[in-house]
Amino acid sequence: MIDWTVQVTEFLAASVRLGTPVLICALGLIFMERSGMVNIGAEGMMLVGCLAAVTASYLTGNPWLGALVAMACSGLVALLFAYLTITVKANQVVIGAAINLLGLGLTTTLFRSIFGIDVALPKIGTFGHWTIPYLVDLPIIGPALFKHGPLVYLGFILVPISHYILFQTTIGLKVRAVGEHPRAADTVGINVFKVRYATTIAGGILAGLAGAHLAIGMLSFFTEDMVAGRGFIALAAVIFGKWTPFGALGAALFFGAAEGIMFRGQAVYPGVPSQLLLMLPYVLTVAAIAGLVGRATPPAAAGNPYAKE
Amino acid sequence: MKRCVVLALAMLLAVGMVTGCGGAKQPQRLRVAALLPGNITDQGWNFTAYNGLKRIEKELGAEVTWMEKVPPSDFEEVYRRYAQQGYHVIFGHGFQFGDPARKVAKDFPKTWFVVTSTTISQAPNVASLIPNAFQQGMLAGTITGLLSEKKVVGFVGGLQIPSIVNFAKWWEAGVKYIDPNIKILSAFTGSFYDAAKAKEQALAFINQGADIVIHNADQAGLGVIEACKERNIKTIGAIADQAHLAPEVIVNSVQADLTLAFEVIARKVMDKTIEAKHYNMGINDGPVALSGWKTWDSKIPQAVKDRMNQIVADLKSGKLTEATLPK
Amino acid sequence: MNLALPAASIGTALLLGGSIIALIGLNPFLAYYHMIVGAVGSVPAIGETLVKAIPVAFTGLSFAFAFRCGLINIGAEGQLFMGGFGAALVGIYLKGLPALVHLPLALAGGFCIGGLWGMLCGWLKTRFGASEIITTVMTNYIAIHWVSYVVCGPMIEPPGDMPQTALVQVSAQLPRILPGTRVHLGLVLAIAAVCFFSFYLWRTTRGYETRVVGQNPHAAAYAGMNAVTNVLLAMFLAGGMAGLAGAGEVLGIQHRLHQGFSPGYGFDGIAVALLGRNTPVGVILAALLFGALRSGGNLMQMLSRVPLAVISIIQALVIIFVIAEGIFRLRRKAPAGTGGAAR
Repeated sequence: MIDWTVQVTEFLAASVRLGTPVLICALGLIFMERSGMVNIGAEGMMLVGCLAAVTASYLTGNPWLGALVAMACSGLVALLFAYLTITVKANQVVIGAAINLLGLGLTTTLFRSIFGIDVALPKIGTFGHWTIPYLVDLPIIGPALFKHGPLVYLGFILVPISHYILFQTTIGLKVRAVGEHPRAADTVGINVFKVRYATTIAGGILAGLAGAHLAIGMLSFFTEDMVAGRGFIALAAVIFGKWTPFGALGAALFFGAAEGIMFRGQAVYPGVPSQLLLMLPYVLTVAAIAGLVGRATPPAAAGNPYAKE
Repeated sequence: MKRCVVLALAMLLAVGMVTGCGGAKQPQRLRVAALLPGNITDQGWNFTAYNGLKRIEKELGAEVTWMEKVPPSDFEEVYRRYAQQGYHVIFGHGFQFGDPARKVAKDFPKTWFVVTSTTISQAPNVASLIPNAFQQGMLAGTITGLLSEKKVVGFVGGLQIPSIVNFAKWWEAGVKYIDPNIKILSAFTGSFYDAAKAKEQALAFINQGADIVIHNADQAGLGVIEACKERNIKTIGAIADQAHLAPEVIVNSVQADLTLAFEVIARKVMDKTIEAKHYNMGINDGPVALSGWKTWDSKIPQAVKDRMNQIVADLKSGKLTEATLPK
Repeated sequence: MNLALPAASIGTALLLGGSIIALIGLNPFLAYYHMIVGAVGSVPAIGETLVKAIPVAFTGLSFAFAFRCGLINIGAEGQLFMGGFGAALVGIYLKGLPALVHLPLALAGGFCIGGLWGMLCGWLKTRFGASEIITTVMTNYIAIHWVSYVVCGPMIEPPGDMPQTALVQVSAQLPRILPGTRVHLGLVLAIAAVCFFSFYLWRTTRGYETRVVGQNPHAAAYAGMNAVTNVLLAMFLAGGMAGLAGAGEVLGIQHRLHQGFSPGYGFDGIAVALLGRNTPVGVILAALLFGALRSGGNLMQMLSRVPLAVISIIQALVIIFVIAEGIFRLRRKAPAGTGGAAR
């Protein structure tokens, strides 16, 4: 009765859908961490992106403008993060935690003042599916990989681009130098502050894009606290992927697949308590990190503020 | 660090003394407070409580206040503080508010404590209120059963709490009441916030062949509606009339609308007819109801409509109850 | 320490928060009045501040313990849930014991299960090299779902229509120690834990090793110190501290286990530890500040109708301005490491 090719296709498609917000956010975090910035606040930045995307898309009817505004708003939050941690040299972890709290509070308050409490969810412009001709006709992987919203493709295209920037360009070299040994980087004339500001804002912009994908790519509305831990998962994906874009891609897809298995498990094994199945993605991730990934060495200067002598 | 805290407290105190106002109190006005477990914008459980409070404010001219997302560790404290402020009735919106209500109620005999979604009561001042889960489940289940063509249907719930578990249980019974051979898929996502997760769960069900997927997960349930919109699958609104959220897929809504129930209770407190007992509010009292077929009216076969009318009548007359349900 | 700085920090945070309250059309003065009354305005209010300071003092210590050993423990929330689970297990199912035996056993149950849960992440790190940042994030979710599972399944209170466990035996409940408030014996335990933290790290050889491993693993290895043992021990103690936070909530406040019983005390612990610069006195003061913000915030929400979201904003602003007090001295040359965590 059940067609297995359809099942596999749908499962793969779900893994890609679920992995994308984590992937996009993780790409930004890679740049940040590579330059020595640990960002616990990705959750809050994504949430800001969600609300900004919904609001802008609601006002203009154009989802692309929504995504742009989301990137700008999250970029602004990242600028605040950068100012506090780089210029003022406050602890990155605490400021990150505070950004999460601030993001939740601000988005909830603004959402209620913009859209009100009593009114129904507004109709907004969302991204439809883009079907890639020819490729979509491939068996199984065609419909699984080539029938998604545009931001999914964008996320995937960003992986090789990020890889190229990080490992093949002088910009990438500077970023990595600043993350490994800021003092040495400073001596050879790299502006540590500038580099860190740049990566942090880039990280915020990508977190905003991830939020936009969640709010107007996967869904079509904003709800309070809708990011639901994906910022933390992205942080884990960065380390899981050993601070490389392709690694993060693998980690994000792995996590998406684990969630995909969980959803199908609930459908197929009704006798198993749902909470045990809900644990599955996290258990699998821990197992994979222990078994497959092994030792992970973060950029040496990650988390430390830099001060000129 | 120490000085910093001391200073902060001193400053706060200074601000307080300068302003030093407590808000004038009008003793005759009914004062109503509510403890809510989630956001008032969830379009579901907490939203109907919020509407209830607004209705009490408007209809009874009462002073209303509420606290959102009250964590379990604060239940007792929040009850106590509202009671100390002289509120006449305090709603606890969920079974989990029952224990602390019974505890605090002993110290404040003049305040009424009304807990929803549980059956407790305690003389002289604790009552409880439930929108009849059996009737909700039967209404949703029978519609689901009647409209399913592929004979596979799905349910996505939030956390496993009594109101949702019982709804799911009786929904299943309702589906089986129509056709015992229908395949039932049911899942809990463990979250009332994660709409993306609920959407994926619904998609997984649709993928398994379900042609009706319903939800009871507050704001996360909006994700289920989204999945149904995307795949053009029928669904049913939960708790409030949700047709306006997606008229193209929501065929009807099974209301468990406590808006009215809140007002009824507040009125009883005002004219002192409330008793320390359990109020089960069902289809005859208003809260449980079908919102109507609306835009779907012309698309639903007359036979289905007739059958539903019969079921509503049976529920109203007491012919269809938990006891009379065929095994 | 310059007095003007912290004053300016908190003042600015409250000023900004007040403008937001005014912007949404409420009276900021009335709101802050309620906040102060709610935090320190009466004996019960002070009691509530203490009640909310207890768990974050424990989770703050949890983060600080791991941090002193060079580990970032984001997992206090999960360890807190497991601690609550352990305490409930002992507190509910062991029967017929005198309180003098039962209560310590239940606390030990919370401490040990929380500790083992923390140590699991330490073991994954030392055995497989798995980053504790990921594993502690993941084990948070696992622990929260686990508690959800046991309350809905194996530990559900008969007859089983409410997802909650039975009440903890009276002999395992933490007695309340301040009449008219909910302040329980956990307060004394929290103070004892802070003393232990201080004594252990600065007065024992083990503690010295922990700090050396945290500060300079290479030097530690050179001196023949065993990093594996130290990491495992530090994560056990960190998990145990967070476990006691959960045990305190279950045995002292809620008296049974619920799903999602913590309002994020584990995450608050991170800020408490770093705000308190990972020092014993600092953690106590930061915990009190957080307790006051929560307790005052509650009354502010209840009586001034300031939404919870705005209270989150104010709390975030207070954290930001206190931790980044350097904002106010940028004019001068900032000394190195300002605002960074002391090691």
